Amino acid sequence: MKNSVIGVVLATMLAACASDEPPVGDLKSRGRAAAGADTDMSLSTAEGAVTDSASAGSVSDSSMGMDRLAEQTPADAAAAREADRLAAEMAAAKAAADEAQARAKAAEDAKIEAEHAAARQAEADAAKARALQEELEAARVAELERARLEAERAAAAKAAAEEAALEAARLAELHNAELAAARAAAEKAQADAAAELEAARAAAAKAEADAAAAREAAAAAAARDAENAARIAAELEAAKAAAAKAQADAAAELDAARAAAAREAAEREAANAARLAAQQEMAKAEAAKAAADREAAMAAKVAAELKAAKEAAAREAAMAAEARAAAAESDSALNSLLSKRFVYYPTDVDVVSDKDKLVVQEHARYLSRQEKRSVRLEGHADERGSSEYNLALGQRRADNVKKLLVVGGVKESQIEAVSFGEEKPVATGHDESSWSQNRRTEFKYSVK
Amino acid sequence: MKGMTMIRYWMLLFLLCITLPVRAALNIDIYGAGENQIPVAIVPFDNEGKLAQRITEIVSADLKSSGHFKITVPTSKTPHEPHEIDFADWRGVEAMAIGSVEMLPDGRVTVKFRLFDAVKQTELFGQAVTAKADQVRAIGHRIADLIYEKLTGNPGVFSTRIAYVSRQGKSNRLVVADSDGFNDRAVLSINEPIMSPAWSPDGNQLAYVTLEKGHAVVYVQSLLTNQRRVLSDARGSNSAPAWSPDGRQLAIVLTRDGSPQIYLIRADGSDLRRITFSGAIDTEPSFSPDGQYLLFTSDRGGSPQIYRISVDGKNTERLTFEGGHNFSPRYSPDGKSFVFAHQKDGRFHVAVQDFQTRQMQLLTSGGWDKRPSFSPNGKLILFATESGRRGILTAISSDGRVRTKKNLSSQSADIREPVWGPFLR
Repeated sequence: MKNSVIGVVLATMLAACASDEPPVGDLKSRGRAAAGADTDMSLSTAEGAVTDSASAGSVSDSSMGMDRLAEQTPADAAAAREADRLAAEMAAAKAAADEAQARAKAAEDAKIEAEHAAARQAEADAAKARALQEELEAARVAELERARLEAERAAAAKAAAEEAALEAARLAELHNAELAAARAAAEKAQADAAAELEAARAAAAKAEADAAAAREAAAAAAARDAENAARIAAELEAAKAAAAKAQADAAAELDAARAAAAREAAEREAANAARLAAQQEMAKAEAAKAAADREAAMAAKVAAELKAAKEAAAREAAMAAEARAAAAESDSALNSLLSKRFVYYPTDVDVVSDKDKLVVQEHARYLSRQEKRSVRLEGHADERGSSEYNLALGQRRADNVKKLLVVGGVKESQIEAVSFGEEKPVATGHDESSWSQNRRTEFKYSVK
Repeated sequence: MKGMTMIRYWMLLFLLCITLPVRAALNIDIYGAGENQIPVAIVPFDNEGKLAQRITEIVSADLKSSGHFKITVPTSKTPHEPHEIDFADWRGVEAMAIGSVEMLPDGRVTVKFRLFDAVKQTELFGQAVTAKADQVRAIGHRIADLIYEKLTGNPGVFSTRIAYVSRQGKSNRLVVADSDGFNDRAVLSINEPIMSPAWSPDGNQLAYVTLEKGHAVVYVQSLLTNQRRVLSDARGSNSAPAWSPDGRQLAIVLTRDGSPQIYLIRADGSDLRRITFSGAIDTEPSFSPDGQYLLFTSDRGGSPQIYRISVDGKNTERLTFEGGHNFSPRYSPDGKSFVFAHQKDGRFHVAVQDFQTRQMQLLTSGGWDKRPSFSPNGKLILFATESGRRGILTAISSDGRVRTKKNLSSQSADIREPVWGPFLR
């Protein structure tokens, strides 16, 4: 029962981890994709990067056409002013190219920064996932230990209850009033046990509910992560588009001014930028995919852990129920046949009567299940006859009870059969009422 | 006359209580007088007043307890020497004893006594006995034995001992005492039941059973050293030891193989052999004087009855067929009969049965008369009975005509399991 209480606490902690500080949780769990759809999205982003790289190649082709147009213009000598204007335009174009380059670099820096942020985020996510996993592991270990301790406690409690019941029964033979008290105590203990079992059941149910909530929270976080990933991808697309536009502008201006060096530099820069962008896009896609895979694995593991925890809780509940049932069973038995610790005989008879066989069988059932307990069978006779004959008769009585116990599945090593003959009477009168009490076999229990 | 004797006896007891407070007290009552009691005069010995106890009181009590003698004092004269006897003073007396006590310088005493046929006026016997001064009772018993033997033709048993168990609350004492109950000493005192004491033939050892180990275990204890050893401690019950006449082995009853059965075992605990194979209760073995047979009790026929088996385990024979239960058999010293307890209609009797006639004779009218055993001369039977819900010891002559109740030292203890010891050798 204590077990279940611990379970409630653990489950509550788990739920708290899942629900505390939602914004931070969202950030930390960003990139934690739980579904295959998220993985597909990352892949499609990578394909877009490849397409961009191809379009950058086509821009380079159109720049080569512009070079040829520039070689036809020097035939007109009177166009010196035009040359100046071209030079000025070239300067302007170069400035524009520089500006475009700067813009591209800025865009690149932004992208790199975005990548770093993503990487940091992935790292943080991984750490969070590890922490979660460790928490789960610790919870699982604690749960198992708790279940084991609880089982031991339940067993010890059961043994103690049985011992107490046996003792109570023995005392009852001497003091009926004490028996009533002992029975009341036993009933109260049983009621307490039932209450504890109920608490354990409630705790298990709550733990299950918490686990479901945690699962839902994880799914929601995964959905939010997917949205974030889509948003990042869109931002990257926009940045890419801007870079491509700037590149196109620069190329047009280079064509017009035929500034090969500037144009080549711009082209080189554009190509490098595109290649870098493509590489970064690929890396990001891979990182995203790996993160998604990790997340998927983590989610599966979380689900498995939750399942294991749930199963453990169910097992524990079953064990508790079984222990309670066993305790109830032994209690009821102790309250009936098992509490009978005497078998009585008619004069000169050493076999157990059919009625008392039920008593012996109940002891056999108990002892066959409690192999650590042993019983001493003490045979007695009344005072008539000789001490030697009565010792023999008492031994026969004890031995016949022993045979019945062995037939009932009790190990011989659990039984000692002895005789006290006529030497230890419970009643000392010279009459049948005393003798009938003295012709007996007594069950004396002990723990091996 | 009887009253005078009793008064003198009680005065003696009173003196004893003052001088020897540890000693046991003996009270002899003769319930039935023998028809052929011999009138005997035991004249007080010269100088015996200097002893701790008057020897002639001891001798008189012994002879009287046998039932064969009537102690008479026809005159106040006390001759100590043959020439002092005037047989005219001793009419009605068949035999008379005179004697004297001499204190020796080394502390010992010499007791001289003579026995006369007062009718024929002839000396029958004369002897001097020297012993330590504290062995006055032994000297008296010895003189009584000699008188008894001279006048009846059978050896006396006054010097023999008995053993019994004295139980008071939880305390159990295994007691050895003189046959008159005096001089008792506990050879074992424990808080668990003691049963079945059995004398070795030489009188130097006792086998017995106790429950002190939580089950019945057979021990053998030396009366010389008081050392004891376990003879048999097998699973279940070990019980009912009986010595063979040569003292080399014992019959015991074990449940190690199931039902209580009779086994033979050497006195050193070796060479265990099973004798009976009945699957019923076989117990209370008793060796025949020739060592060839065992009597025992068995319920193999449905109720406890007495059987005989040869020690090789063959030739089992049922001996009792009378209604009721018959148990606790013991051979007579001559082997011609056996004594046992007979239970019928809720009463227990001492009974004897002759092997030849196979007729059972009840010796007691019944009550709680159990566990009879013969005196070594076969003339008396000691058994346990009850008086006022308390176990006491009683002796009865083997012809059933003389019954003597023995009240032992402890007036509150429950006395049980008596057994008469052998002759001293």
